[in-house]
Amino acid sequence: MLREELYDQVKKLIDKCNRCGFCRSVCPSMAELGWESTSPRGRVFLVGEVLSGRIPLTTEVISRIDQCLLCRNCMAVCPVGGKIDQVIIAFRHLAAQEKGVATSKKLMLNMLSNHRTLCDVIAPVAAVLEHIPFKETSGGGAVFRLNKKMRVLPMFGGKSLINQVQQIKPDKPIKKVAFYVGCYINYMGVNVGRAVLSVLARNGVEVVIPQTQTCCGVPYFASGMVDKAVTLVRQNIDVLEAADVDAIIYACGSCGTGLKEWGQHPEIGPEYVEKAKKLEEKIFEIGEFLIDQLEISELPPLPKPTRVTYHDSCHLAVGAGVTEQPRKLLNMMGNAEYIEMPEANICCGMGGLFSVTHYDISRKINSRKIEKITSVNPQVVTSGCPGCNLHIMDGLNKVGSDIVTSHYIELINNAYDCTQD
Amino acid sequence: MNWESKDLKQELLSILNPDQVFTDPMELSCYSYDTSFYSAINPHMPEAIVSPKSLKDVVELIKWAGQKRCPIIPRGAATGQAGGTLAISGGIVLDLSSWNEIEAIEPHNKMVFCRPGITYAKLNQALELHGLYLPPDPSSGDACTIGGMAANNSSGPRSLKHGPLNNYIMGLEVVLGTGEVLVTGGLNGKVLKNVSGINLNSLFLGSEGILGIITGIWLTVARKPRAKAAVVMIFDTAETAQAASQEIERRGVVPAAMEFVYCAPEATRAAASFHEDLYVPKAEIEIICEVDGNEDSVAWEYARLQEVAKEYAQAWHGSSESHGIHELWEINDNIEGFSASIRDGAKRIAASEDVCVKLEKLPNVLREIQSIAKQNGIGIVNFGHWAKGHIHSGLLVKVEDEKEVEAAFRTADEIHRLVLQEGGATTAEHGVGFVRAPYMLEEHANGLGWMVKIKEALDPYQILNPGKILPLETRKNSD
Repeated sequence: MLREELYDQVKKLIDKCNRCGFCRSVCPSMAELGWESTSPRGRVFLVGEVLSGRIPLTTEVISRIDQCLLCRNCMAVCPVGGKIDQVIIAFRHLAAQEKGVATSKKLMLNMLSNHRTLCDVIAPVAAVLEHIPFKETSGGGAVFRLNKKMRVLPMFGGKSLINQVQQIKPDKPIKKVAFYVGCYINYMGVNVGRAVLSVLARNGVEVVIPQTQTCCGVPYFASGMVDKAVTLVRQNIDVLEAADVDAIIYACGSCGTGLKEWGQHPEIGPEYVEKAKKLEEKIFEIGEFLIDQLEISELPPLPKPTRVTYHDSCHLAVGAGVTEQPRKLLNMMGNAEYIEMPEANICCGMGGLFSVTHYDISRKINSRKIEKITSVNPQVVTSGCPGCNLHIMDGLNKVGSDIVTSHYIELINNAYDCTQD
Repeated sequence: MNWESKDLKQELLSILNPDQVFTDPMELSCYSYDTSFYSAINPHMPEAIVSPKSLKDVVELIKWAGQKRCPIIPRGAATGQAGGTLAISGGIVLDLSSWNEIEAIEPHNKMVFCRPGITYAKLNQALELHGLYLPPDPSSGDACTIGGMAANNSSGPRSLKHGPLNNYIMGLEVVLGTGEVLVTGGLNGKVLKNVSGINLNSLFLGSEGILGIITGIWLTVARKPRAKAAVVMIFDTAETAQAASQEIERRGVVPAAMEFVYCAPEATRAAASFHEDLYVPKAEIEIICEVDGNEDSVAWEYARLQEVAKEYAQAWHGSSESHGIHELWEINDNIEGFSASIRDGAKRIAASEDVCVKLEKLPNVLREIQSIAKQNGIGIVNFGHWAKGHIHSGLLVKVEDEKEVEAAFRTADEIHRLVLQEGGATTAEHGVGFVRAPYMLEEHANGLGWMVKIKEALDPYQILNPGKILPLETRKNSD
């Protein structure tokens, strides 16, 4: 039975918890909800109780475990190195099997996996039609014209990036990399993707975009749709392995965590785990690649003095360990007045589909972030995750702020563009 | 305890809002544990959990509980290791962690008023903006609450120089077992020096919720030290380590912290990845000593520390840079981690983890503790606060094996008894809770009787955290 299998799989991880409670202080949903059952320690305990059969799989338990954003902040402070994400995913796997996945979630996820060609057709059409009811913000968000306080949605970016570009080859390239685009950048954050390609090319890097790459699997694991996630992960591993490149670049914090953690999912099978671990050494976030691999030490200046701050995406900072490189890059640009916001590493509340299914909590978490951002009064708030940016944009719109949200690589690309002009 | 309610949830809802009460078993199960090994083996479900957000909430609840004779168990973040927040006799757990406002910071008066649920880390974050901090720094500081710290009179590594929490408490707002609100430290205001009347602050500090529910805390805080320096020293024997620590103080250094690890064989390998020369194969003790103050005083103290280290330690390393100091603490943690990883498949548990002995007895007691664990067939890692004679023992136990679990409890009991025999204390900062209550009579004799009388005066209906500090049977005897 699945329950027993899953219990076998994660029992050791659960038993490792010594209940010190350190995780309580960093959990964004715990900060809003307050009860022990909404803390990582409580959730790990509850998963153990359910998988061992000591308490039934009720809607109430599912709701508590669903309130986890899988931000991984708890894992960063866990003294015993608890793999809390794997415990949560195991539970959601069981819940998905026994109780099903919410229809809204399933619809969205099925589109991204089973109907990708349809997404490719819809995206450019939606990009045109979306402008009728929605107004585009400077950060690439869509504000409903009739009610500007409604949630800021992502604006479709026209033709998907993968369909737009297959390869960019500068003269005498110094390295060849593959760009793992990710769903958001492919369909909505196309400008972010273009900025990545352009900055790489300007630094003498040849970029290929493997055409059959697909969703990284993160939202499927997070929703307990593990079988589907396995298919996607395997497909990506095959595609990226075949690309035969020096490095694989990503520009979305959540995708990055997914890519780097493929090897930690035994469900994909030992052969793929092995392959994923080999690939892992080659996977770099764009800023990480520019600083650590290309050893960039100069960037052109921004066109005019600009106060910039940076938000640490949980997945990028905790999952992939990228914190310093984007800051170094931002500080490298002339005219960029970098200001560190207080608690730059607190969660923005997005959590992928979490913000769709738990918008209220997600908004409350985001309000704390917005306070931190506005406290340093920047003109631009940047991050390394288009998902975070969208949610920050929504939060800033709610408080009527005119602070612009941008992926930091877009800002860098902007500096290059203006210098060329 | 014998008490009943026909419809507990409904009764609680007449006092609190629906979002402040849970009686659902799933929610309750998350309050059946704290950090103690005891609770991992013996969880205790409360009958309800409530989340008070105001003084009125607590007062009304306590009055109701008094009428019903319903046990009330206050709880912060449940980071305790002694079962202090477990509902061992049923009743209602008061989760105070969400009542966490800092209501006033007066930087010029070096004064703060906060509610019990604020964590130590969050309070310090707010204080840092003013260059201030609260010096006692429990290792669980990121998670533990100020209310919990007050109820435990917590301390931590740097309390060696700066003292435990009671040095910083100016007053408390407490709800007694009758529902009466008591404000200690002067009703009309708080000041930095005060000997007016019997010190009621001290009565409630470390009372673990058996005398009253702490609902507000006035603290005095300190300026952050301008400079720090530290040395890690590796010693062949505990006696040399002790001679060195005495020499440090004799030369005029007032260490802020002096922590130790009783090294497992080869444990200093864990330091070698930082500095190869710190690897001393047969070392018995590793000590980290930190000093703080202003730039000049720290430079002077750091020079003395280095002199002593050179003269006494088999190997040592020092730093006065923040990154280097951080690395030295990491070395200390890694040696402890290595010493705790010597048994494959064993989990480190908290059971008899907080004893304190006279300094002169420390080397021998440490060795005896090691041998108690060995005789019981389990592993152990000893570490703690060297200059106070304060030993934390982590038992290394294969928790799946019932016999090992029994051996762990036996070891814990033998360690406590050894310490009592040596004139020591069974707990120096973690508290008595439930797990150390059985030793209280031996440790305090008629002192325990007076504790019972104090409890009866402040909690006449015997509802506040029953079975903690004072063993249940003691109370029955006095009834």
